[in-house]
Amino acid sequence: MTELENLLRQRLDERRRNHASHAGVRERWILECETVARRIADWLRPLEAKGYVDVSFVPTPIHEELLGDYEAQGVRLVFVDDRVLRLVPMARHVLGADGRIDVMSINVCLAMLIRRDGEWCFARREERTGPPLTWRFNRDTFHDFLLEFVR
Amino acid sequence: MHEITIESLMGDYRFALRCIRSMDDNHFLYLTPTEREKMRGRLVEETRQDHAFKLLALLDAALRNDFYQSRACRRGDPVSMLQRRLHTEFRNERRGNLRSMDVARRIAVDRILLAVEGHASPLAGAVKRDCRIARNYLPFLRWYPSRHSPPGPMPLVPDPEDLADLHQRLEEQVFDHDGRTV
Repeated sequence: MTELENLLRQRLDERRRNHASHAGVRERWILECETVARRIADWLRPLEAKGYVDVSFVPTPIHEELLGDYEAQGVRLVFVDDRVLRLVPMARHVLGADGRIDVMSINVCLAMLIRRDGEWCFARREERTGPPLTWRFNRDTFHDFLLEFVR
Repeated sequence: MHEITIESLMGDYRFALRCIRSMDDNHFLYLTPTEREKMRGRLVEETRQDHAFKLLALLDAALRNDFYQSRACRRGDPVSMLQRRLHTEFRNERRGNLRSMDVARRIAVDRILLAVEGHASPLAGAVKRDCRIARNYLPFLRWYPSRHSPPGPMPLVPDPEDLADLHQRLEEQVFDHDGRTV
């Protein structure tokens, strides 16, 4: 009985530790999504002030096996021609990166923002199972991306 | 280029499945584990449909060829006689003087199978069943090439393994003119 009790206690401790560590990962990921959303809003503020684009934050519900159910901040951009671009946080646990936000128009994923080695970058899948093309995510590349989208 | 046979297609199918199942995570970068499994499932299903289509096309060709040979070789067994009657019937329905090869190309395989099915003696229940199964699979052969502009609901998709077995049984029981059981 003592051996069984010991084993179960170990398992419970392990579970508590994992739970605590997952909670930490989840909180950091939520914060990172919020940071990206605010950064984009800052970059677009001059255009928003002129009425060319409307920026709003949209809480997105996410379910992940390890992190459970939570909400992360997404962004919705409505341009002057009524075209809508959404940045939708998808998951913290993805293969080969530390999180992914999809950049979508209607229901088509135009590109992804992935977090790799502490940096955000754009990624786009050229083939279904081939390596996605990646490039840096900053004010200039986001501007170029929007230019391509609006054109 | 290797010869396309039931065996070679089944070999290709098993090889494709092995490749899909052994694809590592580098092929699924930035997907969640759930998305990876969905993608893998989609690839398996597409491979299954591709090979079912090719196998069904081969079966269609084998039935047409058997139909053509029945007349060209003037075979005298009951199924061949039946096919020759069908040949004449089809030719009479059409305007112009169709060549035997064109009759074999244009006639609906459904019709050949239905005739064999109707002819099969009560003892050959298995052949009747196989003809019926083959007829049920045929809509997929017509649907698959135009699936991106679907005119209707997706028909029954046969399993490549089932098609290979069906082909073998039809070969033994219908195409084998000396040992036909119908």
